[in-house]
Amino acid sequence: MAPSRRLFLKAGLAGGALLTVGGVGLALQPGVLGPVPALLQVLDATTWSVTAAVARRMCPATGPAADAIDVASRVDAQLAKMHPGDAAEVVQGLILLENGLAGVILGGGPRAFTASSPAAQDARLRAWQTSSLAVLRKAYKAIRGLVVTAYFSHPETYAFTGYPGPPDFGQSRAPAIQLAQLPEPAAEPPPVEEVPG
Amino acid sequence: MSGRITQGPEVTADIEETCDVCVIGSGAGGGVLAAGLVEAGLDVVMLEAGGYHTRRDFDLHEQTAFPMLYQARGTRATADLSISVLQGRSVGGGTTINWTTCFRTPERILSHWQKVHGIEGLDSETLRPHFEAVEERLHIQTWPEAQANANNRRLLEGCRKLGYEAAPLRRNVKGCANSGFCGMGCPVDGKQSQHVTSIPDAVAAGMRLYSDVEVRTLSQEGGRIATVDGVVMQRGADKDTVHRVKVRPKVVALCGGAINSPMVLLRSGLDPNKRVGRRTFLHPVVALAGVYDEVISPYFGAPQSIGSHHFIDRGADKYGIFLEAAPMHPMLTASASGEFGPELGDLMSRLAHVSGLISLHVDGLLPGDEGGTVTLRSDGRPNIDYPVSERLADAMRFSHDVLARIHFAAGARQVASLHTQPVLMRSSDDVELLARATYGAQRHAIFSAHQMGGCAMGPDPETSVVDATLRHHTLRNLFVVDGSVLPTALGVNPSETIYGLAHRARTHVAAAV
Repeated sequence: MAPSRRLFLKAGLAGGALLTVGGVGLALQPGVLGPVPALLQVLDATTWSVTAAVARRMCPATGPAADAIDVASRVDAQLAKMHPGDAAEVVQGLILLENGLAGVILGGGPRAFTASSPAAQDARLRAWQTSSLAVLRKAYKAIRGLVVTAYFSHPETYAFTGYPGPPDFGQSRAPAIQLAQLPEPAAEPPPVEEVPG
Repeated sequence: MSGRITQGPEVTADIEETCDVCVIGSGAGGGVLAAGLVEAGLDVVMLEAGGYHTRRDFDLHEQTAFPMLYQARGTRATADLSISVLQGRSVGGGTTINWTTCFRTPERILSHWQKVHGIEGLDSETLRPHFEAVEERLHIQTWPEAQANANNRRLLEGCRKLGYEAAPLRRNVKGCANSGFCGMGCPVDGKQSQHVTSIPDAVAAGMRLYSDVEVRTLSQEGGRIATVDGVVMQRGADKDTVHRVKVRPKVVALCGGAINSPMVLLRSGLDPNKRVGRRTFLHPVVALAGVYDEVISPYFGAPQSIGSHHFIDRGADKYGIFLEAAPMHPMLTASASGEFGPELGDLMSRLAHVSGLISLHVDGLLPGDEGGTVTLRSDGRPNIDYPVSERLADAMRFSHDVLARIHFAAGARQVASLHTQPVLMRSSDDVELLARATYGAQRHAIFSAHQMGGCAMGPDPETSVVDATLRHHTLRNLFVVDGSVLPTALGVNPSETIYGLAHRARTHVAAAV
């Protein structure tokens, strides 16, 4: 059965409670990955840092660095334009992901996400991805979606994928290939003026 | 008399309008309808929630296009996020970002509507002149097989080798540059979207179009809609400005599309029989990625030019499916994959060699298949619940099997499912591995590019929202003219059905003024 948004909110509230409790002993030394941008719109230093940490694990190490793409700030910019309710749910998910006590209960280890080793961070993300709790799978999907789209929509990642970028019809404000560079088979046939009926 | 396009960012005060017809939404339904009403001499005001963007704005980068041209900046999804819902939001609506594939409504669907849903007077012969008219205006013609891109050719070759029917598709293009960026707004106005066809026609003849205006409620007085109330939105954001819009029309045509049109009625409290938002259909899509030795460049060339309806009728109690190709630009592909880290990097680094084939499931035809439900959340957002039943999950399993076999028949070196933990296959012998996987919500990627239903047409107010002329059963100056009126999914891409129904609705709406 599909989880309801209310259920996710309840999980988020539980996460908030866990955050409070988790301060005693378990959510040890939650990290703030610096330098945190001064002008964040939706995220705060902690949730920005969680996002940056998630991006480091999710974005391929063989491509441009997630930090160089500034994925966390791009996610913040996207959240700022989304419906406030949608953005708030994502923030709740990030807070819950960071929480060490939640990590004990929900999978992925006892430390704050940002204070965990890369292997432990991967384990927590996998635990959420495959969790029996639909609310965690949903939160994982929301966070993953924002992070990977922020990364792979950036023109600096195009070369890693072998994507030449869009052809330039004169509108581009970002790097673009010229029409003559379109690879086969897209370079032919030429533009169609009239298609025979 | 020339009309005017007023864009949200230029609005400095509240707006009040009176008119013959207020058309809410500018997509396949609203555009075609409005052009006809203006041509008939009526005074029309059109309200569009999205921005007004033209080819000069289309830089063809996903980071620009999705926030600018899609609902919820490209993040709309079902409540559990298991189905990504790609839906347009700009002047032109879905026609600005669709992949141009056009079909007339299949005879079997019209017959089903008549037999099961009691819809009379809607047959192929009745609709023929309307389809002919829109096909001429929107230049809907068969795309030559020789011009299919490598991605679509994989579908064609695989189907033919396996003995499956497959054929070139019809597209609404004129002077197409064959670039492959239909989903990000056509850069050369080759796609005959509403924002370059019907809407300029209507504005030139007097229509007043307000972009960036989201309609919130319809207010009724004495059994008729008296006012349309909306708010000017911040450009590119799901946030209000302080400016309000009030229109006092003689007739209202709600053309916001499935999901958004039901939302307007729900916000307005206009759902006496609890039918609004019910039977929402999505043509749920699953995809398989094939990796080939040769370069596919799945991001270039007309995105959809080949289709197969070989499995459209799989027998009683089984979902029919139809097969097409999907363009695979980096962001969309990465989003669709369930992977992260090295595994995601491995897939993405081979993107140029990847072909993306999709299977669309025809929902709403089987007994007991009620599809999904759109309801209203307390903060005004839509809540789209779409349970993936066991029957539908079984069909998705079948789709995976078929798509994998097509990929291998077409020469794929490797095929990967988009499961949370992908099934990797290196030959057709490995296709059996798919049987061990699980299918359904949150098991693998599911998409929707076709939203239908939620304000179904039909003869009975207890089971439908509008009649076969698309007129509301009780509010007689209200029409719904968009994909939300479809009583079932279609088994084909829905744009031409909506164009045709809107063309037919012109006379009914005009007569109500």
